[in-house]
Amino acid sequence: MITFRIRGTVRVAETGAGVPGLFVKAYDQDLLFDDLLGSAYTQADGRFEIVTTPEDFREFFEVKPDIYLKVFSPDGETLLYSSENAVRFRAGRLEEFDIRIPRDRLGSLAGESRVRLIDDTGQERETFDVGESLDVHITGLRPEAVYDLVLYDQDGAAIVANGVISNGRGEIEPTTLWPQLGCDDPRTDERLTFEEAQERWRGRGLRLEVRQNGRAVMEQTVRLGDSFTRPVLLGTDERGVVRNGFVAGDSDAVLSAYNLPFHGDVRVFLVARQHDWRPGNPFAAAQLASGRPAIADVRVESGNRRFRQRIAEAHELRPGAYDFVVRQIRYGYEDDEDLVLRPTDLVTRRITGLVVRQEFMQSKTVHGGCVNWLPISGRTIIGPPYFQYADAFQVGENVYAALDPAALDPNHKGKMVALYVVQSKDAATWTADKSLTHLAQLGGNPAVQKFLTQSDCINHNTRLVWPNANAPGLYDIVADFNDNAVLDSPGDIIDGYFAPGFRIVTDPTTETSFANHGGFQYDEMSQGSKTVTNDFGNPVTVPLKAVVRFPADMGGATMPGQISGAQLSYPMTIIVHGNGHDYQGYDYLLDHWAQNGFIAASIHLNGGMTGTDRALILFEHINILKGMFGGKAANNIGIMGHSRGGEGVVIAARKNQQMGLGHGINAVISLAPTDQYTHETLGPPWATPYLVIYGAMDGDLAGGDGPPSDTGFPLYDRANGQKKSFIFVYGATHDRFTTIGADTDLFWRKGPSDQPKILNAATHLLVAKGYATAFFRWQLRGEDQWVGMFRGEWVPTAVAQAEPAKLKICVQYSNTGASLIDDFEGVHTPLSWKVATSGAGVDDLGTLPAAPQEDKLYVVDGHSPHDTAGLQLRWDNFGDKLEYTLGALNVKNFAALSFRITQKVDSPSNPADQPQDLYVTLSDTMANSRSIKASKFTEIAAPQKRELNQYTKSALCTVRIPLSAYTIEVIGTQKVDLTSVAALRFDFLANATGEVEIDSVEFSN
Amino acid sequence: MFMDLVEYPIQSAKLQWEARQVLRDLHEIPHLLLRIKVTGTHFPRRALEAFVSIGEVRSRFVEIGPDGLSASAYFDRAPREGVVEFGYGAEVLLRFPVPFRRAVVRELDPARLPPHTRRMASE
Repeated sequence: MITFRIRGTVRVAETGAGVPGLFVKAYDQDLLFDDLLGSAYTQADGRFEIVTTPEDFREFFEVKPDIYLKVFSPDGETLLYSSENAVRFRAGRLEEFDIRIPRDRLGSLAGESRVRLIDDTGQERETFDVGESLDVHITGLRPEAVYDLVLYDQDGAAIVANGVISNGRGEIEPTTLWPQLGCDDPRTDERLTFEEAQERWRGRGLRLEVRQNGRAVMEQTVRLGDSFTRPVLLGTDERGVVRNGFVAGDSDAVLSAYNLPFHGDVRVFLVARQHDWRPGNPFAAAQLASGRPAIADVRVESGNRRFRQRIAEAHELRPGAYDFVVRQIRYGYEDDEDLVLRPTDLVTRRITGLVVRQEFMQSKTVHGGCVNWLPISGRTIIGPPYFQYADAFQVGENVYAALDPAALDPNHKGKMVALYVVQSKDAATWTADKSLTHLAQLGGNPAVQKFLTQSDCINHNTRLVWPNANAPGLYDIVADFNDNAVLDSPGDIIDGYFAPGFRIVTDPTTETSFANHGGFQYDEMSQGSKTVTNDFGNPVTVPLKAVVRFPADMGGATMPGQISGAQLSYPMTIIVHGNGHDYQGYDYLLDHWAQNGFIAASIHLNGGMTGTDRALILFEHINILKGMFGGKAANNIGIMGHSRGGEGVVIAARKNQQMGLGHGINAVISLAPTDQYTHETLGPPWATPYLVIYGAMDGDLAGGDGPPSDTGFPLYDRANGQKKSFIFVYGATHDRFTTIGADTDLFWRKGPSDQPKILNAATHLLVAKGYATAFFRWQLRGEDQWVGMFRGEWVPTAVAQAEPAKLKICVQYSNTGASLIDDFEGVHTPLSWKVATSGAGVDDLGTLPAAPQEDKLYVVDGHSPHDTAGLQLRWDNFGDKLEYTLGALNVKNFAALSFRITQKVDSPSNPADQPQDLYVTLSDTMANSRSIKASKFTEIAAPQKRELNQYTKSALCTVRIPLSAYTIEVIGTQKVDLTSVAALRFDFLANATGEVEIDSVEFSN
Repeated sequence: MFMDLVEYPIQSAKLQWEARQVLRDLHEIPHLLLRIKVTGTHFPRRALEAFVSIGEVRSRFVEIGPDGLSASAYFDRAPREGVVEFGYGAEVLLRFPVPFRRAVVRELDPARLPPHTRRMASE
């Protein structure tokens, strides 16, 4: 079916800003009567799309429409624009229109062109008090353009200048111009007490100019109050001078509070920082190093509503970013227990209350080195903490930047910082060329945003750096403190360098390439039944029923012959459900796969069927589908099984090869699989690319004591001969990946405290959609852009945004062709750990408190779900180590050093409920060495605790360190010669104690 | 699993309560209430209102904690003693092993209460 697409944008002529909500009609001009082709409302960015078919316009022998458009007000009554006098004759199948309507015709529909001064609650204000943050929100500008916001004092001297970029609606989103207004002078290092600031700024006026290309386009006056009455919370020193950032151990945490709206008993909480606070957000006092919660009680007199209070002593403060919450405690009320932010509470809202930096060098990726690699890119999210660092963005998404306040080099306080967004460079290019070239689509270097850091830290603002990022690719962000367009270490901060900072990529969870899908079902009336033998030897007669979806050009297609003509053939993807599941519970996947260009089906299995019988029935359906679709069904098949089906599809890969069936099974996915019938090994000669998805809160296949079984881990561990990946989803259950009977295991093997950790059903579906679709697109269509998902490098946007407070994904990954150093297999003795699988000698150099234990992991750790041997080791001092002597190994042609690692459940050596960390050192034969911090690449997460603790798992995840990290230029460290690697060493320099299990140490691709 | 075999009200040593007097502003007027906080299981949010009863005395309202691991019941009548139960609507689902006694309640100092505080009726 031929379609014609009419797309475009309606904009304000003067600024180019898109106009939402307008009613657009498209017409075909004819001799007698014009045909209405269709209509649409403009979206938030002014865009619209109308799809029409020849039936809508065809007259006589007309084959192409002659298009003109009319644009109406939202109620359809007022004509705002018409192109009737500029008809586009014989339009093609895709026509784009850029419609510009003057502001005076649009009137109020054009939106307001205005500067709003707002406080950090978003309320518009005319006057501000000293100590508050001066924020602005500006509308009616040119979209995606760079502006300078310059604040002048009443003598005309510029105080603050910020470069900002407008978003796709021509809006500068709420931006902090001057945090803690008046308490410091941004032009100098001068800092004032609150009283001194009041004296200096009382009643004064400021002027804000919005400038573009050196010309003022808007202006606004800012007044400071004659008397200051609004509550102010400031991190200060004992004198009351603002001091809200310092190195751990240097200073106490002191809060100075002014103009409190209440008196009497007051409690101050020091809490983990959020990018914003809203009533209803839960909070908890930070746990201090001394073991006590960071709480202080203060008595505020009614005649003097202020206080200065030490909340924590210097030695108690752990590194981190914090906010202060101040609450009136009324006798008898539950104010001390109800730890949910109230409208009456005071909080250091968008300005971080206190930043306690760790020792500067400890945060660096390379031990002793000076490259400052930190996450910068991210997105705003709904719900606390209101900002999420992210490495992957959907095409068209806004990319924001937030600088970690704890990361500021103490030499750069009070300086201008310029934010460059650049094409990502590989290690060799960065080493050779440290220049910064801001993206051309963002205006190039002249358009770089610049803003001032505060006296002690960068603690304000999430900044929009790339609105509507629509160019897929890899990018880095650099915070250039010298503003010299060069990456200078150690001062500048980069999100990138060792690995791409972020990527713009289509989201496999939501992206579709076909606008429509067709569908039908078949059953035993047309296809009959089949009798097969199950794994217990019993015959099972199964009606051949399935739901089928396929790509279509129009909606409503119900026949295989109506499959889209866009491609010669399509790969097939087939779902094999589990026991107690229903084949109709996976339509959400089938619909999505069909619109991603697959023939997708979900097949029926009887209750009680086992593994092998499922595989045999699958083969029947493959033949049926091939028959139905003929040449349109490519012999390029992906199979996904859930639960018993997850084991069944692995059996199918083997049986397909052993029975010589010739089905092109090129991808296998096991979703929460059993491992109870044949204990399959997916390996040669039936090795197939393999993905396992499994939830940490699985109640049906929860695992537990004894040799590993009943979880996805053993199947993954045994698979070999092809690439494989394991997606371990914290908070995911067994049954919420299907839509029928989704809560069957919700309470199984779980206690009350598990319930708040469980992801909702919609999140489960997103995880399945994102990862299964990407895997099939990768393996069946050769789309390599998804490989980073399966190495743990990035998470698709829709998944990342779903329940960010709960969702964590831990990834294992392995590919063929690796140079194995140690997999700990073989005969296990108390000394067998001293010789690696590769023959390398292994030694702890007398540092570890006890000899490592090499054995099957479930033998050394009852919480291990793995069917593999590994090494369990414990350290109790900085400087403990484990070293492999490699001789002179040439690893130049490999991409990464990788290993699997987990924290041991319940070990008191690990930080309670915190990630673990270590350094990985390579040394060459010339004694050059470099140590890389593992957590910079992969989080070694704390295990997700289950109330029934026997089901808490010491689950391995893969750490992949690109080998370029050992050769890229890093001042203060040596480059390692990868052609002659003499030693690999695990250096336990990050935390004083720890207990972990390690496996699969290798150099890989 | 096997929910059909469960007999209500469920009794378990895991079910616990604690009691204290609290002030709450109801219709902007301070009220002295008895708060019974129950723990020991996960308390789901349902369409029906939850309740706690002490003997024949029923709570005025119940608030389930943000994580569902506790429920706080507020009484405007102070029972002397009785069996503590929890349920939804009219159905009792849980029975607590330790009965309530007024003597264990953490009481507020009457002299420190706000003026015009509405006090509880006593049994």
